[in-house]
Amino acid sequence: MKKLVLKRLLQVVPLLIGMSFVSFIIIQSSPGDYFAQMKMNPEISPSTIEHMKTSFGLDRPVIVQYLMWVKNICRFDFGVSFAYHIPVRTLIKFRVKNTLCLAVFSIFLSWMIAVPLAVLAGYREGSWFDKLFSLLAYISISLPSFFVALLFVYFISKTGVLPLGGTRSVFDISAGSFTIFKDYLRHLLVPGLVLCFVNTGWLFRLMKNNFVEVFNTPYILAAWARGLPAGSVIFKHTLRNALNPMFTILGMEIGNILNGAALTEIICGWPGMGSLVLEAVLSHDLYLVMGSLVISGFLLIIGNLIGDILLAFFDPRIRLS
Amino acid sequence: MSEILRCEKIRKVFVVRDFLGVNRRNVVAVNNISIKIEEGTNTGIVGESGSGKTTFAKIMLLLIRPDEGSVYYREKEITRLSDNKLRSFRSKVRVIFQNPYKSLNPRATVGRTIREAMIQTDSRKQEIEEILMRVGIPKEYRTRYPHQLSGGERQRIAIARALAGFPECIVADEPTGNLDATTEIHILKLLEDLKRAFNLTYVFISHNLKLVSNICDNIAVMYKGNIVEEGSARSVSEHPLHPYTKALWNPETANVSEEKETKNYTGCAFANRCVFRRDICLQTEPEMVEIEKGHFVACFLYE
Repeated sequence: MKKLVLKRLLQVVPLLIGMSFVSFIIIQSSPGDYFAQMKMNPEISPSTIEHMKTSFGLDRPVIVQYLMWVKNICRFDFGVSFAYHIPVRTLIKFRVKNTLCLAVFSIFLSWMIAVPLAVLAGYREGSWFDKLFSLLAYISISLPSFFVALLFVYFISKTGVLPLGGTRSVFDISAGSFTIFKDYLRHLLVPGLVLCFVNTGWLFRLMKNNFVEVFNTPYILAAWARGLPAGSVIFKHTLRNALNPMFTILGMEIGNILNGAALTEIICGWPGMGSLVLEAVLSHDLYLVMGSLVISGFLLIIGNLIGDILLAFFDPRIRLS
Repeated sequence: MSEILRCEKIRKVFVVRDFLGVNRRNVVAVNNISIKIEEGTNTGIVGESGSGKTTFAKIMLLLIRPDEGSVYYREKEITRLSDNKLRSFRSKVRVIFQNPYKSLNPRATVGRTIREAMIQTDSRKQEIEEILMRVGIPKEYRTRYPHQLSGGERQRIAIARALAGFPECIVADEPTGNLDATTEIHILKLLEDLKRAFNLTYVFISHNLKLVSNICDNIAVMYKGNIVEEGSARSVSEHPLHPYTKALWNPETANVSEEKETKNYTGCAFANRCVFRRDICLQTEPEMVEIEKGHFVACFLYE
């Protein structure tokens, strides 16, 4: 088990190098750069722009730029954002925390809802319960996340039950840390519930299909034939086997949320990685894009690793081989 | 000799719906079957695929409830008992399925599979190993998983699992269907040894009449949900009566025409493939008649 984790963590290094190199080249070879807009401004002299380019190291060949960037990364220096004029590390640190909170909250909630409902629906396949929740899942899959987010934001702004935008309300300085935490959670609820709604549908569908597939295998029939109680057949024999493919899904889901949450984050005004990357890419903010990509890639790999570890933990066959 | 299991006038109809659920079609899987399983005997139920023999086996085990008819276990009717009340029956009447690659839980070790199949939950390592030895599996296999075993070994584990509750009767649905010829002989030999050691009663479900007639005392031949011939293995194999049984004996030389499309008449289910067909065969369903002592056939040729 330890060996598995170590091996997977070591695999991260070449993966990150390859990923960052390719994205660096692509961003640098795309037309235009951050200074293109400045050039249009007659008040900024071309020599100032040249000076800025030199100070950011952008006058050298792309390969040299990349190697310099890697050298700095090794010292945890992600460079300075062109647009914000503050170190990329400071920017990302704040955003990563928000995105992780959002991802963990929405993934956890959608699993807690989808798995039990899927087990019930799979156990009574074809019943009104199954039909109702399959329909709801169908709706959840069909609706695009930005539409759900818009609907939700509209509803929230009309009723005002939850705060919208940002991560915290205005407090006086004496507010305790628990109050701040509660306030953070209330802000998290809006994007969190939107993502949860979008995720739960296909999770439910996948889980139900897995459950039904396992439930109809001969070894489950054999379990019934032995006279095992229903709880043991459903939970011990069926559910555990049906959960296996879901752990792989969990790893993918973490990556999905990191990339796919951008729209939700923007609409709900949640300052996370998704909106940051989008902004950075649009304005050619090179070091910010690169820094975010490295962090997202790292989180994606970690997410997959967590999925694999859970799978190995729950499936004894993987531990053996 | 007392009877263990008795089925009376079992009927099971499956409703098949088309894609939109508009058109329904009834498929009669089991039609009015009665059978009696005596203690200590081997009974074979033979039929081609689609004859309803597996459905009938599941009904005998009450894994599927029949639409009509009753199942008796030691003279007591159990057809409508709840799963909870059936638990002692389930430990006394066990099943072995055809495909050992699918009938074992892939996540459970051999030891766990067998421990769970025992009635006493506090059964110890020793008892599990004893059962493994009985089926010819080394006791070290206790900690192995099904994917580490061969097909024959898996089927032995499935047999051990059936044996674990010390049953009276084992229903074996094509127990050697997925195994090669040499493994088949070993498994059949093992089943025979176990029968003597534990005083077991077997019900074999198979498509192979030759195999079944070698190991069984009584044979019932099924066709399209009906029993068409029933009798001792000896008389069924020496003087098969029904045209379908004869065809099963000699598939190469059989006087049976290819299956025609669905049955659209009221008479004998086999009539559309039968070369001895007469007018009455298409109009009326034949009743079982006793030709020799204990040898029944449902065919108008013998009236």
